[in-house]
Amino acid sequence: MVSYTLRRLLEAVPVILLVTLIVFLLNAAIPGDPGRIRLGQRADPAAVDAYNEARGYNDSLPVQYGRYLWRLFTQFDLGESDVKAGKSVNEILEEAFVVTLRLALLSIVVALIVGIGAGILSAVKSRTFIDYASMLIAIIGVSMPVFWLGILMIIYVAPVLGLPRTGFDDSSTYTILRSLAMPATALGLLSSATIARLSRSAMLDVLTQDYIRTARSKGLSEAVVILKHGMRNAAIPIVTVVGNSFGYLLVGAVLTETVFALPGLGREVVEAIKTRDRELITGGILLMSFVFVGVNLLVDLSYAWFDPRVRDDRS
Amino acid sequence: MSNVLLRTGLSLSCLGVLSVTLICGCTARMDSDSDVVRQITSVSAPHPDGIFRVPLMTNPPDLDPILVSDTTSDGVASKIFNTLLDYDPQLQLEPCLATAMPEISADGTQYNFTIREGVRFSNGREITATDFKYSLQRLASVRSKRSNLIEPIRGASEAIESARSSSVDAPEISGIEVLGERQLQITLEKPHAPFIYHLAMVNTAVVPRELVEEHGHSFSRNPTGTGPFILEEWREGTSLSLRANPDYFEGSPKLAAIHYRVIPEPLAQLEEYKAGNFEVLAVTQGVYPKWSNSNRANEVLSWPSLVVQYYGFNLEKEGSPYAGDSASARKLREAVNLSVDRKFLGEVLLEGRFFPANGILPPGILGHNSERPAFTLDRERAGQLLAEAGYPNGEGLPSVDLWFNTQGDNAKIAQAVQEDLKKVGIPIGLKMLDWGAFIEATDSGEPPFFRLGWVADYPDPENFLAFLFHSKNKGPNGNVSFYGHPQVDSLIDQSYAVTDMDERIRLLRQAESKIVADSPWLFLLFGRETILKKPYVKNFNPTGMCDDVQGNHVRWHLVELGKPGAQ
Amino acid sequence: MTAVKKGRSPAQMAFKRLRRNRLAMLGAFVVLVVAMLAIFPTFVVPVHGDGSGSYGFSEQFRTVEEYQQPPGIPGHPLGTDELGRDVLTRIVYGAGISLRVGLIGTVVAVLIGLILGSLAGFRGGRVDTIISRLTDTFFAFPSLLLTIGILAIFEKPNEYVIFAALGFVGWPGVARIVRGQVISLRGSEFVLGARALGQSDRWILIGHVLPNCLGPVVVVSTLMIAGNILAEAGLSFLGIGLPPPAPSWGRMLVDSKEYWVDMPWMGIFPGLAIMITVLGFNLLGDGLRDAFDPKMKD
Repeated sequence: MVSYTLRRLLEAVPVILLVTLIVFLLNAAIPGDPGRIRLGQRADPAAVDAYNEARGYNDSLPVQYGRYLWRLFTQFDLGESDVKAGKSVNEILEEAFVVTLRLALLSIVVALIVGIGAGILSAVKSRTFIDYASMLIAIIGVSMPVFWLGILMIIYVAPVLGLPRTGFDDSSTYTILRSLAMPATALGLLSSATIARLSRSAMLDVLTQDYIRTARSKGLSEAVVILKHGMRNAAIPIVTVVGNSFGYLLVGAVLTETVFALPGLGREVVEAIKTRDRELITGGILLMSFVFVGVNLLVDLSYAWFDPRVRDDRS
Repeated sequence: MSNVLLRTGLSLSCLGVLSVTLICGCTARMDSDSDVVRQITSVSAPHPDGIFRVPLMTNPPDLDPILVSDTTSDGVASKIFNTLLDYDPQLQLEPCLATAMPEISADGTQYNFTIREGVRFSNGREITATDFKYSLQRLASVRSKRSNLIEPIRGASEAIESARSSSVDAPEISGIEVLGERQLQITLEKPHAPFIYHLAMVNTAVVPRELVEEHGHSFSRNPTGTGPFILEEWREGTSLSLRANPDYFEGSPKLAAIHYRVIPEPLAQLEEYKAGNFEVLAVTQGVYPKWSNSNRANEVLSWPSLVVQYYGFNLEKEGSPYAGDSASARKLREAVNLSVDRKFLGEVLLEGRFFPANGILPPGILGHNSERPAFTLDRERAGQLLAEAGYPNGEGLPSVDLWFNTQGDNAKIAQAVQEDLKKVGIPIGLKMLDWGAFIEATDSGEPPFFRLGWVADYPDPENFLAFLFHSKNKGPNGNVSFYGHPQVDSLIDQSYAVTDMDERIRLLRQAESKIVADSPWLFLLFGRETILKKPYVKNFNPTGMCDDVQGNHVRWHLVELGKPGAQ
Repeated sequence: MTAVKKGRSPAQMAFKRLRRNRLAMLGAFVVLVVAMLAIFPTFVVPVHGDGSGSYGFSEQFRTVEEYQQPPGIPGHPLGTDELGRDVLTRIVYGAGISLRVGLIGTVVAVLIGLILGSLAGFRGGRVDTIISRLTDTFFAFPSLLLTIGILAIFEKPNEYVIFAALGFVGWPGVARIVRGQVISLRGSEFVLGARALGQSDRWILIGHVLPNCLGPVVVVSTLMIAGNILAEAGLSFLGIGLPPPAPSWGRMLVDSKEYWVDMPWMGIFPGLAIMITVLGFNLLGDGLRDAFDPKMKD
């Protein structure tokens, strides 16, 4: 296990370096002069040049990249925003990340509830109308443009349920849950279909096993049987899916955050791309990618922990 | 298990509610054609703590006066800071931090101000003439986005030049002199009549040197001034709260606080307004006609704004049939101007929030020529001109791209104009960009044909004509049509030295007429600002300089929340 | 794939399983209908004007009587939009755009993924390590943000740039699957046999290994088409999609959203068009996956 962990960690190192390199190159390719962006379109060319010189934008790309990496890995400093004067990228991303993280976690809860619910239901009522209907509903959830669903929810659902339409109120846990209820639902539906398929399949598997028949014959109620045995079987694939879909949730969050006016990471980065805020683009995409790499690593490691075979036959 | 079932049941019933409301929505729409006054449900209850709540589309990028260059930042900053002069409701200049309008020397170069006594920054220190000198000099620093505002001052160009190679925060400008604790004298290089308006722009607001120096670049995050409100908390991209400044020199504000919330989706803003979570709302498509014809008509507030919307031709773009001064190009440009149904654009497409332009200067700007008729649709004449230009029915006329930015109604207008032009045989393509990329491209003269608008910085014709058409301002300075005509240049130049307003206006009107005759633009629309405002809000009296809900130049210390239902 | 009955290839077995899956058949039907709309739009809507517009039809709009009208008025079964254009016509012609975005973006991704994945799997060693790390890297990027970033480089995002960007972002999924398949097939008897017969590596790869990857690649492509259609709508929402007047479904939604409260047909119908099409591809893709994966219970 230790050697497997080490190997996975070592594999992550080039990935992280490559991520930084690609983001850096992407940024360099996006047109727009940072000095002009900071000082305004009407700024004097000499002043623009002075700004770029001071911020190091006039240096060659390898020099800039080296400096960026040095700052990143020695001080975890992502630089200063080009658009918001006097605001550090670390500060901006920290605030935004907290929001996105909460949104992503809550939407996983929604995805699990809807996905497992639909999966169990359709397995138990296999090959009936309910089976098809619940699977269909789960897949419809992934098939809607998330902003469309979001706007429809703001117009038609929020007034009925008395939920806040937009924004993020973090004055208490209760207000956080209320502000995130609709966005987390819209976002959670994105991963629920896969979870539904997996739990349905696992559940069908279990339902035909001998020990279920035994358990039933012992007089246990059906619900207990299904939950205890079925879910234990489905747990590992579901954990994997949840881990893997974390990245997709971060991505889906871009649109969800815009619709519901949540001050999250995705919206921040989209704004940064639109306003050509270089340091913020780099920092934001890096943070998301690092989180993705980190979560995947954790998923893989926990997978290996539960299932020793994985450690060996991975090549 | 039961929990799971419950959840599934819940989402099903949500879908049910959804479809029912959709059907109701359809029927409601059909009713609108009859005379029935529509019923709109909208909560009307002021915040119990006297908070005025405003939605914003975007986070204000900067609140340091020398960095403010967009309308959102301007709206917020102008509640935190004050300037020497300000506007009265009729857009006449009046003293603000000065005790009176300045004494101007006979040659029009020297302005003498007396600073109001007893005005304090919100850190408690009283303002002096030295603070103004410092604040104006900051505009010459390398970080300033508005150094052009002080350029007419004697010694300013040199200061700007010297600041380029240094990081001096406020380079010395000889033309700004402190003659006493409350005596300020500004001397211009040469007469520049519109200079006085610069002193009413938030960029020239007075700032406390000690705090600017303490915060450095992050003064923009911690703005402190003399204004009616004080920055309380700013969560960027989310919200911004201002609290009342109890020691405000014109009297303590009636509101306890102003809360801004950033909501990028207009539809969501409207839903929040209806739920009673905002006092005001900037109106987007679909709202104005419906609310005007409803039980909530009293919440609609509309006023002419100092805006002109236009599609500019790049007159120096190589390969564009519309560029240059040849007879054929001029006829083509005129034909384009005759081919667009502006009445439809303004009244139907934009729901009466805009009206056909008759030139460059919108009503409300001194010098607006109300006698010139608005541009109208004349397809026959357009076809004739097209033929005269060598392209009968548009045959052989190459298609050029119209560039526009993603925001607001731009895409709708562009598609309608494209359709209109197609009807007379003029082909255009559409190219949509984000604002950042768009403005960079127009400044560098890339697009042959582009959408832009101009919002007045101050209600003077010079602000439109000089920036947009003087040949010295070609490119990023504002003249992105790259128009240039010696006669127009000289009329504008002459006007700077003229102190008599009527004479200035005569000169500038002459310049406008000359420009209109050359049709460097497809002149489109003049605008109205339209907002919704809860009926209990009192003393919110917008001027033509107001950018929708921002209420620029509104007397914010007088704005008040009455009782629910009160008018 | 151990339980092969005599006389039936795995593909035939999979097809049989697919045919039994009612939801998958529903998906296939939807996909077929959308494809027909895309290829023969004039079957459903009359030709407007001279058909010279940039999207194969010329649009009539802006007569005041037909402006922003609800479904059911003569000639406009789904109503007219914010510019007075027929919503049905635009939806029908939009099918072509959605399919193009979905398909071509996917084809690009599959091509890149096939080449890199098979190279990694077949060559192994250092080539494999490099390609695998590259795959991991692109996997780690938030895909929508990467797409937006790439589109920001090209200032005018026309159709082809969007196809390319979506493909460029989507390939790692394909590459991973192909690599896995190739590795598992590399040591199989028929490859060893082919080698023994002296066939070249390239021929073995193209002739034997890749056809056996087809199943999983078809599955992932079908789902990717669905994802790309949604991505185009999302890009439009963020103001980065196809420029007007393209009748893309995403654009139709974005351009009309201010009106939805009062004129819901402008939002409902294009939204449903996206939903049903994406649903079709998702159902079909899931069905294919189950069909190719005998472990999955149906």
